[in-house]
Amino acid sequence: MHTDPDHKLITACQQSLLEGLEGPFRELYELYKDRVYNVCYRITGNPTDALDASQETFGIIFRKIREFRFESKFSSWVYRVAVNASIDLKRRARGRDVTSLEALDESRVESDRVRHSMADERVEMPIRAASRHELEEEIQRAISRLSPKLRGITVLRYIESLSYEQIADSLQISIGTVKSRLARAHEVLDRELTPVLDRYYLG
Amino acid sequence: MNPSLCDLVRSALLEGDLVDTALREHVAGCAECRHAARAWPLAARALTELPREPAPRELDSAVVAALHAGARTERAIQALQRLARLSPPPQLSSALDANSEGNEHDAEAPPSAEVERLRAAGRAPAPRVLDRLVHEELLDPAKAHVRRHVGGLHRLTAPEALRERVADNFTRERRERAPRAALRKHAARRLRLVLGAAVAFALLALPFLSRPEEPDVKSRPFRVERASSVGALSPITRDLLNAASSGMSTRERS
Ligand SMILES: [Zn+2]
Repeated sequence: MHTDPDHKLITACQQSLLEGLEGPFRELYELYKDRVYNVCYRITGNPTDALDASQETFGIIFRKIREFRFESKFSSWVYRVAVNASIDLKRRARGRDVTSLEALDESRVESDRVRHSMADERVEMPIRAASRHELEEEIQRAISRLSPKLRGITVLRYIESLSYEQIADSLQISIGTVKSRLARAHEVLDRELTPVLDRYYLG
Repeated sequence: MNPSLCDLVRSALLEGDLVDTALREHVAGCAECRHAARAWPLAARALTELPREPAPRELDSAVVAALHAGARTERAIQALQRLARLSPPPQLSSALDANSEGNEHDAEAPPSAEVERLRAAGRAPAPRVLDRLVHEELLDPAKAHVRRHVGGLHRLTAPEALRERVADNFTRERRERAPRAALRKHAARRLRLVLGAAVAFALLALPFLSRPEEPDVKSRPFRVERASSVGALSPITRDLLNAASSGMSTRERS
């Protein structure tokens, strides 16, 4: 038996003609558009790129939905497409000198290291408590400074509240890798965010 | 710092349940774990509390545009696949039979080279342009969409007025050209006559010019003839003149 909660809807989409945003496709779109947009928004870090990445995500989903064989959960596939579309968009925007995701990861890790050595000097902050808006901006900045791999996992875990199993299913990696990457993400976020979080939560 | 215990603490922090007594004792004595135990839950909370943004209205129209572009591409690909699907050559089935007979005990055996060759002959390759089109489509559906629309614009036929205008121009130009052509023809005819006469004169004068000091000039009979036209020359002179002028003088006469 199929355990995917979207099974019926996906099957209806696979059996209908791909003519645009109507019928079961419309239903599917309405079901996922907020989830897709939020993943794209938090990974790309701005509304314009989020819109482009979301558009690309649905374009890919509708073009390839007939090939979906329920080997993973449908939602996992949607998240995977959205994460990859967002990371690809950022990579393209960053320029052609960075040729692969790995290379992007490496350069990001290096720049993170440099920034962390500087971050320690930034601990001196104004005494007043950070506003909610400032806090959100700081968090978004900290997410953007994560490597693409760590960013995808962080967003799926904390923005979309996915379980480790769901993240592993979405990104096609082991649960152990999910945990170790999430721990690495925390190490980076910790250095970036501790001062501002202390100000906000602990006064 | 105890690496294995520190890792266990971090794993427990990710799960959000640092309850194990041994781990709690470790945290009390490890500065790094103490810091993580305070900072990680705060970061997790801050991330979780980030507001969720509703998808903007523009996304609807952006997706509609992407789907239309996608649907057109899919239809085009299906049409190309239908066109490209040729029937296999008749030799293939007999070659397949022969191949399977030879491999009765080995269903997984690869087909013979001959079968592969025949199969390849029956398989039309996708046109090269498809790679580029699909690539462009996937790279930038909106741009590809615009390009397809521009490519499909209705071609206008030239209006009747254009044909009439071109015909008028043509007739006028021909009329203007006719007198000039007649003048040119007349001048050419006169030039050819003058040239012919000059050549005839040169031929007749040649014996005198080549031997100026010949003593017995009177022993060699010759005449000077003045002719008003080629027709008035003697037949021998005319032939000579004709040969020297490559037939121009005769043509002139006729
Ligand atoms: Zn420790």
